[in-house]
Amino acid sequence: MTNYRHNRRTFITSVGSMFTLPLLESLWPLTASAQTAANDPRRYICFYFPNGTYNRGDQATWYPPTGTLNAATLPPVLTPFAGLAGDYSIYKNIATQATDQLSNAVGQHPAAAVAFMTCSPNMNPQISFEHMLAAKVGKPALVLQGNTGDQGDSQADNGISFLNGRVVRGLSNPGDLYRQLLGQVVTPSPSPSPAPQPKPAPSPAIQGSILDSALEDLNGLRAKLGKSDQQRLDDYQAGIRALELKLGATPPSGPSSPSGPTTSPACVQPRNNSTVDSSAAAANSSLYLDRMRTFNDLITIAFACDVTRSVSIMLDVETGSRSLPSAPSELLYKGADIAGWNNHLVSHFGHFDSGDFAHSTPDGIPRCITRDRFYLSVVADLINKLKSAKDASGSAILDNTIIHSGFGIKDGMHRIELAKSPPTLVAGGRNFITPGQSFDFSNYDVADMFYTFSTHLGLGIPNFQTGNKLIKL
Amino acid sequence: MHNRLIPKYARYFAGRTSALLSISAALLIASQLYSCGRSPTKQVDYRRSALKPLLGQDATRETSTSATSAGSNDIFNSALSCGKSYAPGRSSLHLLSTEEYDNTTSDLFFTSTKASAIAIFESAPKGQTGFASDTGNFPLTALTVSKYWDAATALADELIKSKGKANGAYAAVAPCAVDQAAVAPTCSAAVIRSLGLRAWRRPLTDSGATSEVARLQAMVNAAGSFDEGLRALVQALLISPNFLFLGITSDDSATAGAIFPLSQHQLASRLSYYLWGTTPDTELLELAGNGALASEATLSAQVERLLRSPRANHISKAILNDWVGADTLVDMVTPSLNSALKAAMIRETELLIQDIVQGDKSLINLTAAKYSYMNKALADHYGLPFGGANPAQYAAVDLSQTPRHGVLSQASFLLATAGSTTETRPVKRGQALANNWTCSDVPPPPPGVPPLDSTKLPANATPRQTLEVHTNNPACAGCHKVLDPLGLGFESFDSFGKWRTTYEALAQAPIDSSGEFSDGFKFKNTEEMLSYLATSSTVKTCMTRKMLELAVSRRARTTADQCVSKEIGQAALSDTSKFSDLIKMIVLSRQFGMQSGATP
Repeated sequence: MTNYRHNRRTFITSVGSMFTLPLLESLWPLTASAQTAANDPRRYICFYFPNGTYNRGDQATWYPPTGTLNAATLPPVLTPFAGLAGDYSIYKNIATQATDQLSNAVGQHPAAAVAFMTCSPNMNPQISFEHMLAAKVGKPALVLQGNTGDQGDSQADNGISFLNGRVVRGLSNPGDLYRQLLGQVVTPSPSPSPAPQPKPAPSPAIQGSILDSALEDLNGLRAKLGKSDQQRLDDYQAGIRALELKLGATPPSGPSSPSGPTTSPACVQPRNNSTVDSSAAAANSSLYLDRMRTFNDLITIAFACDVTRSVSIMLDVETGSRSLPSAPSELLYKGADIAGWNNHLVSHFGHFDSGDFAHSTPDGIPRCITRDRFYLSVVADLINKLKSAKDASGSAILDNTIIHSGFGIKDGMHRIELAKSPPTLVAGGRNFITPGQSFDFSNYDVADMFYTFSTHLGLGIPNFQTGNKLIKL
Repeated sequence: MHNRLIPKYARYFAGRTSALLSISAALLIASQLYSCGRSPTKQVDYRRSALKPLLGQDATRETSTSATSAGSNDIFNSALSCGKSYAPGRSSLHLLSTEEYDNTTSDLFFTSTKASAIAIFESAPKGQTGFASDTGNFPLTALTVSKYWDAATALADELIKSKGKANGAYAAVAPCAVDQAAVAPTCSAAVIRSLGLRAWRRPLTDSGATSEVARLQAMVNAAGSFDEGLRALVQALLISPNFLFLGITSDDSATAGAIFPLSQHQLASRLSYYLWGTTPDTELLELAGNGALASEATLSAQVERLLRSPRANHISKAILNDWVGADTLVDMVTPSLNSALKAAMIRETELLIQDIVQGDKSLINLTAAKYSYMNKALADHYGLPFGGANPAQYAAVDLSQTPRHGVLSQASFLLATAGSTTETRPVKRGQALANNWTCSDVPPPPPGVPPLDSTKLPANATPRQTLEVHTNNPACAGCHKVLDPLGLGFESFDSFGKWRTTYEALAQAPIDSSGEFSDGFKFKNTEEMLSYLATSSTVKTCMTRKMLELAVSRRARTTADQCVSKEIGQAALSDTSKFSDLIKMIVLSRQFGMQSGATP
């Protein structure tokens, strides 16, 4: 009797071809310029600022007057970024219900991080927003962090990114990102110096067989395991799926060759920055800005090549003890530098042993403003890079990207009664939201903000935790 | 109770002495004959030659033993009085640690290449047990799997490149394919079976619809050439969960309440990763394949054999870095301490641990040893006389006339737990002592703890005065009443482990290092505290529990774990017992040889 048994890959390939072949011709653009912004991929990036800041309602440190942003009325934190005022909006008074609830149980530091992208009132959320988008579009999320991850007080304090109920630690070495996600995915462009010849890759069919074999092993193992171990295998399976995409994503030739509908002209071979490519560099405070800017370079190319559509970056851990480097002189507020200070102490305005300002050092608040500017300079760097890079339609990648940044903790001194919400800055997304505003969102929760993001990013979810109100952004 | 127990264990070991001696002696002589004076390259040759019997092993026999369980699980019902039917506990799926991955692939492909360095594995956080081999907290992300793929690819490439080299890895892995223009199917099947056995630490299934051998053979055949097929085989074996995870499974493993013995091969793996941090060697695999491993005599002999090997340095390193915490010194910024002296501090602890493990002395010496190993610089640092001939070399130093006992009075531990290089923070030391040496399980500080109100402290407040603010606060007192007295007991040591009697920075205020353990034992000073820790049954139980946790890669916190740890600790941590006694008793416990089913 003939054996008609087919493996999963054969099935998927056949079905995929059956349904997509008739559409293929109509999907392919006649020319690159025929591509419209509506077909460009939409992306999400989150920058997390740790430990809270100076954020009092009676002191307009972060918040400009409600309405269109005006360079002349920007508060001290935002003044250095006046040139980008049309690219971002500031949200104030948006409620953080889940964070507040979780803070009562576990304290503000871990609650702020855990709930930031999950809006979950418990310490083991299933999934954070960037991974939801990653799952929807079938491309892995990038999880990055500004430190080496070993200087927080606990693992929970260190995490904003969650997948399958576990915190996901971020990469702190840009070289890892280069090698794992970009160095192999993007075909090298002609280079003046001869690049090493890549080894001939096994055929996609063999690679597929290998990964199918792994999945078959996984299924054999799964039946013998309990729930918690099965979850571990779920993580592994997700990794194999992502590997399938990665291996299958190798373009047939260089950027000059005919490209798919969403290939951006900015999809070029990235350069690895050897200065910051080591664990020693990741631990070297003075190289912090170099590392973060290198991450921004790589994120820009990763977006252009459509390797990923979601990124989270924890600029530093909650309660971490890493010393900050010196801030560029143009970012210093009233001359207060942050060199040698750790951001937690800066959040407390220079003195832990106090419940209020009485014990803060004289330049404690100016130093806090300098630190906020320092972190914002990393965001601004990415805004500029995404503004310069174009999608296939010619639209700036920035205009198809939501950059969400801000603190999880409302007030650095933990005086939450004095601050209604942590400062939130949202940039980009001009093709579907309107940046350049100062919004008062007193009637909304941050879960509503994520729900609104989800609609713009095409997640197709009915709500995000308790959030189901659409906000006009 | 333990008065009754000691004779029981004495009988246990005495009854097996002659058999153990003869087996151990034969193994020792054999291993010395093979390894003595050989270069690392020659040792690789030895391993390769030892592999030969497996390469030609009959596939039917491998398959027939694949599901063999340890069978006579009576041996794991042990002589302990904790009972013969208690639940042994359940270890979760164990992802190979970075060190285990490197050791394993090095053994599989006869290479010194560290695949983790090529693929740049992420640094892994230590698990709940504190040991690096406990990978329960290591997140398994898309990037992690991608790195495993890169590592597998690099190892496969290296293997293929070694083709044609005399004594190369290719010849060892695929001897039947060397010099063959066309490789016969029987040859590729033999390679799949032998490499599969060593990579997955069990024979591959070889019959029926789910035959792993057939599946892999089809993949190899489809690759176009044997070498491409071999490359694919290596990638498939190494990216498989059967390689990456050490799983303790059986038909009952997903049944709540079930208790089952480990299979022979699972037992071989658990033993090998415990003591060597790598895949079972040929001898263990052969014993498992023959169904001969799970006997008291064989397991005891294998423990002896594995501990005598230099590869048992794996367990020494686990104690040094993950238990004592000496590895934290490596990256610690210590401007006032020169790097040579810092290295000497770590080396001192390393030598004591090696003396215990390789010298087969009682583990109680970790807290009890009245001797240490120092170079002159370290002896000068402590203010002790150095009797060695060469100041740069490490020599044994007698501590009997000093207050020092074991690693808890060594600079590596004291600096790693000092909390600061400028002033000691007793809470940190107290927490280290409670968690790792008395197993008091004090939880970490809750998040968002408000800072101490320094305005309530007198000028030049001593650490004891500062900590009283904690203990006087009902919200903090629960933990700090346990931690603070323990930490203050170390106050006669400064951050760098030097002895002191006053606080130099606090106007020479005298040091009060008195305190009390939670069991009620009161000590007047550091010396009394260290003496207590050198003999305490609590410490013995805790040390046994740590070694049990290392063995089974899970926290040993059940009542049964506590009972077993206590009994073994009393029996195998006397002044005169041996390290191997302790390991044998752990290996013969139900916790090691059996597993509880999981909730489906």
